[in-house]
Amino acid sequence: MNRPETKRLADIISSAANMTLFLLFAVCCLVMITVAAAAYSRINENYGNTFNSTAAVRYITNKIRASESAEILAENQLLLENTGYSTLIYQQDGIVYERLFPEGDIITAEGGEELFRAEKLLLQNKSGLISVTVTDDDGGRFEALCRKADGGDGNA
Amino acid sequence: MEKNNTRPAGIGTGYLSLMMIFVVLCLTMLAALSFSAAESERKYSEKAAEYTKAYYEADARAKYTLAKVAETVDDYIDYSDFMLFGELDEIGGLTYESRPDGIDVSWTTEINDRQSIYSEIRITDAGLDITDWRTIQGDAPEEEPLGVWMGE
Amino acid sequence: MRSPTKSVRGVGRLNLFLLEMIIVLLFFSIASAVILKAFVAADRISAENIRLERMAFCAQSVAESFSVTADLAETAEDIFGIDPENIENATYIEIPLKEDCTYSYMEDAGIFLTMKFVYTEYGKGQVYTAINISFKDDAGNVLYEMNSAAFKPERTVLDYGEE
Repeated sequence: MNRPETKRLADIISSAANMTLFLLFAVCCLVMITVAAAAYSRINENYGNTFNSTAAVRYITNKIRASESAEILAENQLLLENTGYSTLIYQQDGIVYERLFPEGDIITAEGGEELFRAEKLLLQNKSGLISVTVTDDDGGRFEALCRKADGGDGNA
Repeated sequence: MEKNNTRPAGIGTGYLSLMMIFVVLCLTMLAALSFSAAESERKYSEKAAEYTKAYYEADARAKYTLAKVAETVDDYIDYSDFMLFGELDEIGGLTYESRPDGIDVSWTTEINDRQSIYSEIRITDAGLDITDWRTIQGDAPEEEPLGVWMGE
Repeated sequence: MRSPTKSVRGVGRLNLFLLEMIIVLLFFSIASAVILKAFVAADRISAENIRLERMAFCAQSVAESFSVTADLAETAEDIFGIDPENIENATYIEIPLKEDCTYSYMEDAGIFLTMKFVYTEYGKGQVYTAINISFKDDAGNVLYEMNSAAFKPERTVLDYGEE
């Protein structure tokens, strides 16, 4: 009779099915872990980029508000003056720097302290206000207007 | 004959459960990390948005004081008139100094418990000039700036 | 009598594996559903945070522009490039915005910015105007709001932002 052979065939098929199901499950698990890791890294990266850009915009606008006068030297250089010292905020090689200068010192955009990562910093005069635009590594843009400390044209 | 009856090669019981536990733990950890990153970001964003709101509300109050001062001073030609000083005192929180051609008035408006807006104006016959409008630490501008330490 | 050990072998073993597989899949799908919800929530919170940051910056720009112009139509033109002639009401403006807070032509608007006068005080030739700036979603829920003001003195010669 063929019974033992049929049984062996059934055993082979069942163990193959067993293995296939296990492998399928293992692959699904791997895919899920990969997708979850990608989602986490995307959220985290998003957070890092957003934090850098928004913090840079906020830091610069707060500095403008706290200074006695503000002057745009170049599209990525801002000079803030206070009694006794000046602050230069500038962007170079994807980084926003800040440097303090005692009164009367020559202002140069080098040797500053690293503040934030920013692909681009754009400072413009817009209708009597200073526009601060920061672009992050992913191309995300954050812009805010800020009044000059001296009150601009006399309106408050 | 027992050898012919040996079990076929396959996955033993328990491996699947172990794998599931490991995967679920990994996914839970990643989900928790994502959630905590998003939550900490939310706290930062909310704080920043609240500060913006507090700043502009303080700014609006400072402008209201400015409107009151401007309206009061507008009634006077003599900037050293005691009646004018009395009216400015009624507004409250102002520091003023009379000059021959006008008057300098300053005041601070609280943004939060750490920062304020310092406002300073000069009113003359020619008009109103905002000489200072900036954020300061505390409730009074520094008399003497600390200067810049050059590392020497 | 059949031995229980024997019944585990062969086809019985596969049955055990299948039974475990079913139980594991059941638990796994329940756990995955919960974990997926956490991921979706984290993603939604992250998007909302970016939107809140953009709204705060947009509100700041509106407030700053209004303090220079003291006029809602001019502010709308300055910030969003809207032609002032298209604005009928000078004391209440609703502007449809995209998620990134740029002006939208309605079809893809996710946020609605409302600027309205809340208080105006006229002195001798001077005007103090307080405005409310609020952002709402499609359902009318307030996402972010703040107040600001502008002061226009009489004696100062105003140039409306000319440098």
